[in-house]
Amino acid sequence: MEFPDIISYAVPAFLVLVIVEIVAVRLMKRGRYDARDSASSLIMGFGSEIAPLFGGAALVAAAFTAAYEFRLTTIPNAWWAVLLCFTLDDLRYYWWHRISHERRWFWASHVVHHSSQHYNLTTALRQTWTGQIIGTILFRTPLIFLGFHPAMVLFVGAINLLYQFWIHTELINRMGPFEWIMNTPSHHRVHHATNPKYLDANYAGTLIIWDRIFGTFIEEDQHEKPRYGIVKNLGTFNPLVISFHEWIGIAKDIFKAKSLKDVLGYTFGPPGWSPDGSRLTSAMIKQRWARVHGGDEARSDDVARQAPQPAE
Amino acid sequence: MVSNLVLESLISLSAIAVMVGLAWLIFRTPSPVVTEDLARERLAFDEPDFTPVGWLIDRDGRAVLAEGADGDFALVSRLGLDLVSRRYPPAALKVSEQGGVLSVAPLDPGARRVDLAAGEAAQWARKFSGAVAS
Repeated sequence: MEFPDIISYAVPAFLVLVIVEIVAVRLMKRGRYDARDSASSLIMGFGSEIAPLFGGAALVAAAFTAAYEFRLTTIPNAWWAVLLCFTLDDLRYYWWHRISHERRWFWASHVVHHSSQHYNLTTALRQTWTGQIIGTILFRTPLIFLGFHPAMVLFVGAINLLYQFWIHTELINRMGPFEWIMNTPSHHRVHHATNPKYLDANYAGTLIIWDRIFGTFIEEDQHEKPRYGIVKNLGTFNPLVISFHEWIGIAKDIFKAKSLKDVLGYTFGPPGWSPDGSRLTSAMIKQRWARVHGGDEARSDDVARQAPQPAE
Repeated sequence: MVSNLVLESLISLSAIAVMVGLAWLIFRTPSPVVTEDLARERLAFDEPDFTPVGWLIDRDGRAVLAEGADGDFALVSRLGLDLVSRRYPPAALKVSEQGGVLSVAPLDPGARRVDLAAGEAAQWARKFSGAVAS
């Protein structure tokens, strides 16, 4: 069985779909585009294809080769194995993605994808340059150790990534029963939102069932429009800052840390962790919102409705 | 292999230029003028427990600096079509004033220096004179 490089084949489709979305957003007046923001996203996407050549690809190849060499069994390259591998890889994606939000070491790489205040198809292409060198491959290696061929694991991972492209849009609202099982634009808008009630939710890649099973599913509230980005939005479109700002932040924090515990906390604690609690983790942000606005009932768009919005 | 990589890169960069160019053509919108109302709304979302007691507003609408009741400062500046806010204790900012322009340089790596031209710039610079950047 051959496993084609479907990402390469998909690049022309990305171009066409982005153009279609730009025009549709304008005509339907739903969603937003900012050329500078899109340029940053697309440069990040371009860089993410080049970055593995600086060591990441070799690291992945070495880990995959070693794991396959010592595999527990050999799973044939059959259609049922592809389906099984895809499902297991999607579960792997859920946990990798969740940990990428819950631990600063992985967040420093993944924050790139969330650093746009816009939500459109170019946001999908805003990808990390440092993902392959920080150990995320450890999440995939168990599948190969189980006996799935590395080419199959890469293939199903590429399908997962491709699936996630089209869900980065505000053009599609709800999708009926499809939403019960599959990740959709609505579910993923929640994931990209910074509204306190939406934080730390909907980590799924393709199947939303993982969030439903592990208790991280939050449905998009039609009365609370997502506000996209990160809780401390970046003040620049510079791709180098986008790519490395959190790593620089970790380095600066480690430099001034007073103990090994602080070093570990700054590096592997939740994003926003600090020894004295002077910064805010997402749990603290939720608590603060509830404290100020009176519990779960308060909605963050109540604030937005009271004041004018910036020009769109 | 190298020539293939170069060719693919050129194709990708051309595609990026087409997408960005089209987005620029269709969505050419000026950046918002940062006003007290806009800053207040942004801070109410980003920093709901921040109570502003004073405002320094850049006359060109690039940014607003707010002083909080708890002694913190909040900086709201524009980025493209959006606003970016940050809240800092005075010691986390490097502030200087020259010719009626207050330069505020946050020390966190995701932020950038912001200049505010305002009549009260010198008066606001004095609020930071005792703070030590850390």
